[in-house]
Amino acid sequence: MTTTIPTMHSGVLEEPRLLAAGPDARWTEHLECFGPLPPTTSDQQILAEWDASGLAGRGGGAFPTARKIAAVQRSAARTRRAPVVIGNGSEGEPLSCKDQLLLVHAPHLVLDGLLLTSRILGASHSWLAAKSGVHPRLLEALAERGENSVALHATDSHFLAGQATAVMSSLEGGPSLPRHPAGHLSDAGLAGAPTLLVNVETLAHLALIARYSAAWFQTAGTAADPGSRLLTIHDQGRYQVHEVHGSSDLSLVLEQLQISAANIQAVLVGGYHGQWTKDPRIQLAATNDVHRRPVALAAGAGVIEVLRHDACPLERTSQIIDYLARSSARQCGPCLHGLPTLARDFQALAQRRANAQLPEQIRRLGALVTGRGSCHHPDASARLAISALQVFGDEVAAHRSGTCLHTTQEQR
Amino acid sequence: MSAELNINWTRCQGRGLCLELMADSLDSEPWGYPLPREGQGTDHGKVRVQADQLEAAREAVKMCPLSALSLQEGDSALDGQR
Amino acid sequence: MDELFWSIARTSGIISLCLLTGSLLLGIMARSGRSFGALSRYTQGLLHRSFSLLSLLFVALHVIALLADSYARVHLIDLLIPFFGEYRTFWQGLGTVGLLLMLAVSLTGLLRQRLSQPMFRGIHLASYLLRPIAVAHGLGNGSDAGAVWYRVITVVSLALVATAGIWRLTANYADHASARRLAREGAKP
Repeated sequence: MTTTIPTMHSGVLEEPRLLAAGPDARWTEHLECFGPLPPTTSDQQILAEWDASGLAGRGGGAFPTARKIAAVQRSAARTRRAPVVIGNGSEGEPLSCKDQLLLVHAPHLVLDGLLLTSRILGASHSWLAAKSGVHPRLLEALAERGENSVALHATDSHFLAGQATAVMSSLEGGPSLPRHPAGHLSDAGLAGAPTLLVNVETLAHLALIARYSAAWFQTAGTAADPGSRLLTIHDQGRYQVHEVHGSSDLSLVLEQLQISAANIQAVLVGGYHGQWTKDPRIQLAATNDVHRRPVALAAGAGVIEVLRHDACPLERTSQIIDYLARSSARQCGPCLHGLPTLARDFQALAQRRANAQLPEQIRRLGALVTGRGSCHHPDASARLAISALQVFGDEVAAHRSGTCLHTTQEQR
Repeated sequence: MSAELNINWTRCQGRGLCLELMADSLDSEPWGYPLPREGQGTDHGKVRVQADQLEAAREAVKMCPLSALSLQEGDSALDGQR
Repeated sequence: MDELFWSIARTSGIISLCLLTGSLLLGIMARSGRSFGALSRYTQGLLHRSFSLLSLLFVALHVIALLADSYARVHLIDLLIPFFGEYRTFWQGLGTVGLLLMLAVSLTGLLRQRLSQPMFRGIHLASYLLRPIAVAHGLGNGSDAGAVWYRVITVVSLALVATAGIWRLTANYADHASARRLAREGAKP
């Protein structure tokens, strides 16, 4: 693998990183492409590289990975309990396909990252949580390496099953539902042990940084959002997955994928827990930054959905909010009652039912459910609704007067 | 001295004892669950408890039928971000 | 002296049962999350606990008096192992079962904050069994069971508990029940 400096620091990578070993890479292809796992003598150096890289979590939270690892190390030293490492590939977001793809085509990179982190942390157990569909490939991969220290866990496929505490609950034999946070997982997680839970793509990046250094990692992306990320792009009912630079210009990515700007009405950035934008001249970054130019929007779990002109954005948003309301864990009163109410009001707006109060009602419900649950599901769902109201002001006005700017659907 | 009331939403059933005891800090909402009043909520979803509400908060924690409340006392500035 | 102990045993038994009934009624009221005029939710909670603990106290008195009364032929072993006694074995056995259940429920109640919720709820549900057991024990073992006033108290308290029980099962029992149902209608998958 060469370390050429790319000609552009934005958009789709010129040379793949995570998928450099080719599709469906076996152990031999993986070794040929990436070389062996670094020896234990480099462990301190590896930690330093991870720290210097600025890698942020690729599961949606975008938390600095090195800080998470350091927190687990501190807890382990303080409590004198061996930590546990969990690779989270459950991918509950229905629009996200990158984790599945990574686990099927580059499982060895993920396993490398998992084994390295476990080794460096002195973990007592390593888990890889993923839907049962990819387990055969993972078992094969483990067999190819002769590795038996990684345990596989089959996760459910509902939306919240991928949430960190939901994965933990599932691993402990309970329901795949979020738990009320009782401190950080790094202090006490699985069975009370200091727990490192990271997305499988993050593990793959860790495996590459350990081999090629932080400096290499930073030859992609920007200072604010270093490295690369996998992006799932949905358009007209089909999807593609590409590896892109951090802080990529959305307009450049769409151009590279030959999706003409003229055909785009809006883009959903960050998946179902994301935000809308009508202007593709934004950057897909780790976190939101609306004060810089161009504006940076959080890529979340690396998902974008293109909305063309033949679709009504309020109808699409209503569909998503219905799904989110149904996906509630139903454990917390405000979420269980607030989200369906918000969904019904949004549906009324999408269906052009004359009611001037609807936008205000939706906003109030959004504020009511935000911060009043044991996880961020209601917050993020409310934020999507508010984002739609803000971005599609014209459409909202049209709907309130009984018309729609984007479809010729009969008024129901 | 300040304190923060933490509501375990997975346990809360909106029985309303805390609303009675801490009427200055908590309001009701359409479905009966506790809602921090204007300015009383922190951005982590906790409820700021003023010194004069401390006794009431302790009682609410003790009497909540679902054991859904917990109180974190002490100077929050020293505790740092959680 | 035996006469005195016998009196104490009977009286404390009846008082304990009345307090138990009161506690149960308050418990059902409290579960609804409603306030009833002067009886705020908080007051209901406090009274429910007080009545329960007092009921336990009077049961303790009841048991001590019976142990002291040589005529009653109640021994320490009968407090732990039901259906072992010499006097109306079955009904006394119920008394023992009731005592043990009451201890379990009270203990979990006091340690509520430290126990896991499912464990606390599970054992607390057993408190619904307490009243039938206690009433049966009183009717089977009690010396006053035949008296008219005792029967009146029994019937009245049974009626109150039955009413509360039926109310418990109605659709709008809980506060905000209809608003919550309305909100959730859209949540079915």
